[in-house]
Amino acid sequence: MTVLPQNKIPAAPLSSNIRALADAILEANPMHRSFMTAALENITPDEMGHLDRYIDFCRQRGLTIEYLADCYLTIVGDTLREQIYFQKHKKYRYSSFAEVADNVYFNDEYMSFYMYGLAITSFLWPNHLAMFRFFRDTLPKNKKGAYLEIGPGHGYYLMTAMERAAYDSFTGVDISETSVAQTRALLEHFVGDKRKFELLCMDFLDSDLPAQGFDAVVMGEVLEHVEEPERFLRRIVQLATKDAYIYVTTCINAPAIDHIYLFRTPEQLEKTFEDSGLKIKDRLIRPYEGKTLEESLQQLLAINVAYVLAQK
Amino acid sequence: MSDALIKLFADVLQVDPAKLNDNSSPDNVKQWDSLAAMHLVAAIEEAFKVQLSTKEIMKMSTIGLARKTLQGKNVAV
Repeated sequence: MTVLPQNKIPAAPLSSNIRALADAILEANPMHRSFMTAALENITPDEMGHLDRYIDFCRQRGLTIEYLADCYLTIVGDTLREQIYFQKHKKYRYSSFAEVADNVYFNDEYMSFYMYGLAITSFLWPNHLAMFRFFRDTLPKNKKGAYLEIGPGHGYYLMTAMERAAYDSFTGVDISETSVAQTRALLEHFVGDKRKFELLCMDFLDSDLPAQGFDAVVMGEVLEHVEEPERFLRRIVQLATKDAYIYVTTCINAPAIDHIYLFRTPEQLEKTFEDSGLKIKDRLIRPYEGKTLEESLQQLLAINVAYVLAQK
Repeated sequence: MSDALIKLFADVLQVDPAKLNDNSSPDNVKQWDSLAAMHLVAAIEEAFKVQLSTKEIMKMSTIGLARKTLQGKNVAV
C-alpha cells in the first residue's frame, strides 16, 4: 500500500498497528487527517496499548488493517450522511425498530463492520473515549455479585469490566447474533476461563433474568436504538439490586444509521430517568467537539452523555 | 467572482473567496473542519442537484478535487 506523504500523520510514538490503521484510514479519506492527528494526541499511552492489542486481536481473527479502516470509515461515512439528513429535516431518518433491524442488527456483514468500527471509535472519537473513561473510572472495583450488560455490542466494555472489577459473574444480553459472537470471541481471547460469563442472544425486554438479581447493570448506547427507552429503564429498575451500580450512556441530537429515538436535550433524558424510577448520582455531558453545550443544542450537533444512576 | 464552486466554499467556510483556489484544502484553510465538511457536502448537493457517494465525499480533499468530482457528474463548474 502506498500512502501519499502529505496524508501521513505526524511522527509520534505509535505502534506499528496503530500507525498502519491511521495510514489506511487517511489513504481512503485524506479529509480525516486533522481529526486523526488530534484524536491520536488525545489517547494516553495506556489507551494506545489497549487499541494496539485490540487491533492485534482483530488481526489474529484474520482481519486486515484495510478491513478495519473500512469498518471505521463506514461509520464515518454513514454518520455524515445521517447528519446531513438530520440538519435538513430536524429528525432522525428512521423511527421504528423494524425499519433498521434487518439492515443493521440482523445483517451479519454490516453488523460486523459496524461493531469493529464502533470499537475503534471508542479510542479515536474524543466523545466516545470520554464515555469509556467515565465508565472505567466510576466502575466499582471491589464489589461482589452479578454484573449485567445490556447490548454489549463489540464487547469492549464487558471485557473491561471483567478485567477491572471483582464481580463474581458477568452476563451480556444482545439482540444481535453478530454482536454476541463478536463479544464472545473478545472475551475468550482476553479473559478466557479466568472469569465466569454468560452471553444471551435475545430481546432484553423478553428476557427472564432474575428480579433484583444484579449488582451492576450497564447499558451503553442502547436507548437511542429503541422505540420506548422508558421500558428499558423500568426493566433495569426491576433487575437491579437496591444499591446496584447502574451506568447508562446515550446521545442527544446524534443521528446514525440505526438511531431511532431522538433525545433533543439532556433535560428530556433526565426526566425519562426520573419517570422510570431512577435518580442521577453522577453525569458526564460532552458537547460536540469544539462547541459549548449551548452551541451544540442550538446547532443540533451531537452531544454524548453518560450517567451513573441509582434506584430512587 | 464568477466561479460558483469557489463562491460556495467561501460562503460555507465564511472566508474571502479571493483566498481560495483549487489547491485549498483542510490543511490550509483552518475553517474547513469536520463540521464545515458536512455543511459543504449539503451545500454542494443542494446547489448542483447531485448526490455524492461516501467515497466521493472522502476523496474531495481539495476544491480542485471537488471540482473534478462534480465535472464527472456533468456539472459545469
